[in-house]
Amino acid sequence: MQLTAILLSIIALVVFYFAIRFVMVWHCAHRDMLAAPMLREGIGHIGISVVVEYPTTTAPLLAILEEEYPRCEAIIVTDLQQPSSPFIPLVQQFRLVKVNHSGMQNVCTLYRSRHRAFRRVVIVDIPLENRQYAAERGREIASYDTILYLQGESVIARSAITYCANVVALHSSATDLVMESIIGAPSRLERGYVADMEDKVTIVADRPLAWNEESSWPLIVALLAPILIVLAAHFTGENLFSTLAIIVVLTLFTLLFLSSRLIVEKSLLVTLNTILRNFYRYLVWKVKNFNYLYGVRMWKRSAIKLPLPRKSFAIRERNNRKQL
Amino acid sequence: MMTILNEKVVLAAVFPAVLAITQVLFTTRKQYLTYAKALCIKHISCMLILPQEPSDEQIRKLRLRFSTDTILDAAIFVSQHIYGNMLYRLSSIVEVCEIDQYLLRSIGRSMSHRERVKSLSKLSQLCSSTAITEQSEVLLDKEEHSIRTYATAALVMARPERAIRYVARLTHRLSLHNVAMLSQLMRRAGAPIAYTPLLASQSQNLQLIGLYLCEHFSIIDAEPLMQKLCIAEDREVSHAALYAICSIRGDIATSQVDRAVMRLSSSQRDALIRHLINSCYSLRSCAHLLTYDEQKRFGERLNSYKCQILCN
Repeated sequence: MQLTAILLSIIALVVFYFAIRFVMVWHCAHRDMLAAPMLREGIGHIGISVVVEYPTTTAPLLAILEEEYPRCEAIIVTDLQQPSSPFIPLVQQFRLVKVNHSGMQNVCTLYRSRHRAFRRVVIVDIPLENRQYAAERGREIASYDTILYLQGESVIARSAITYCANVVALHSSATDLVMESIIGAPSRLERGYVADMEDKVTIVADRPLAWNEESSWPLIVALLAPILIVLAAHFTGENLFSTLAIIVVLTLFTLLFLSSRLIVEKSLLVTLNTILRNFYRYLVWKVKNFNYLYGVRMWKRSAIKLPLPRKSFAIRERNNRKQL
Repeated sequence: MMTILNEKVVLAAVFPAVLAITQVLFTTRKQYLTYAKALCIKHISCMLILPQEPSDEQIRKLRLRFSTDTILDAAIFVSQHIYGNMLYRLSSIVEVCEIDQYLLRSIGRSMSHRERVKSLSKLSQLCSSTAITEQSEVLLDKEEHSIRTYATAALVMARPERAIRYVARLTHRLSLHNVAMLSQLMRRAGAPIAYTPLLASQSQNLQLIGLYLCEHFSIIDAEPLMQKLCIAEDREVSHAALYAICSIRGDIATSQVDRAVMRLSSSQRDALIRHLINSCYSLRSCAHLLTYDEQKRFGERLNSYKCQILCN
């Protein structure tokens, strides 16, 4: 039992170390962004097209339409063949018109808004079977060269498009950019279509670009973890479990510090929930990376077979290596 | 046994307890700050709207009632929504409340580069008095590019008649964001905007600001100067000139535009195609700039935009 406690304590120490690293990734992003004031009127010719893949509600679209940055558009990729799709009535409501889509494979119908009030709405009908082409078709249809990709129920954060436009304007027009957020729902901003990632400037956003109202299991796990460890210590009588509990609590405090530093419209609990989810993803990526570099062949295969982790962490690590 | 158990229970409960307390404190503080800011904005707006100018006593009362940070936030918010003579009234409020001096002190005091830039950008958003220009001018000689840029922004707002001189003093290249910010400040402060000297100057920063203003106000008369800038050696200037010509729907059948397009990378050409379509150019007018594949893509995209909308 003592050996188990020692092993768990070592794992907890490693997790605590990665929590500090995670906060440092955010801190570097926050420092690099500088305190540039947010310009809310159109900046030059910079516009942002937001591609949302298969949302089940209209909330993502309505959130984009509330955006105050003038040059932006919402491209909703959905399957209109399903009778329960919430976008079928929206076609009538927003007075969208069917337009040509010759030359675009896998696209059944393409609707654009003609009415001036909804001039920024595009609905693309791609069947669910061809969902792997959704991002590509969205990119082809987009009116602007900077594209923000969102998935599913992700609702864009307030002023996220203004923020993206400001970040893009801070860089030279010749650079191809990729920006990802390590906080909030998965989102990805791209400018330029160079296939090789090495040629792109990679940035980590210091604020959440989108929110996803998913279950709050990361927060529940975080709250239950110290209680379970203390119960284990009580029943086994091992003092090392107490050390483990202290380390877990310290890790949670580190992440709480990060969530308290963010200035967002959401409550602290929601912010902490998303940060914990991202932190778990970061840990999984670290384990996979370790496994890929140093693991035995069988494990490596399993690491490759598993879905790829988010790239933002990889980006930061690669940049660090470049600097070295 | 009970003591040990109690210690462990405390350990298990410490994080949820701290989380709950932090949440309550955060919410309360946020609500208080929002309320105080809203109240301060209301007071400042009343002072600006009244027919007679606010007396120093009234302004001092404001200072006694609210913290400097609250007044600063409120003043920035108000300054973004007013123009003309109201800006001068606001500057007197800023001066009596000593907000500009407070920001300058924080610039001198803070060791962090980020904090300095933050204070300078706040200073640039306020219509500060001319008394602070001497202190801000010292910052123009700093090594950090961002500090120099935001010091210039603050000076442009304080003395708009010298805006072009201050920008010409910058030796580093301004980003599009900085260009947009400076031109926005010049417009708000009422600086004289003469596009010809800006476009004809040797400084690339001034050329970029000139191009930005011409694009923003759709100044068609500036097209010959823009065509000249299309073949500038500097790629940023050439790129900005190309986009400005397209934005004002200028002539793109010239050799200068041809040469500028030839210098673009593949992703930049793709972005230009989108911009050309957004600027309502037809395929025939752009055909000479594009390759066969690009023309095909241009046609497909153009059809998907308008064809059936125009027919309906």
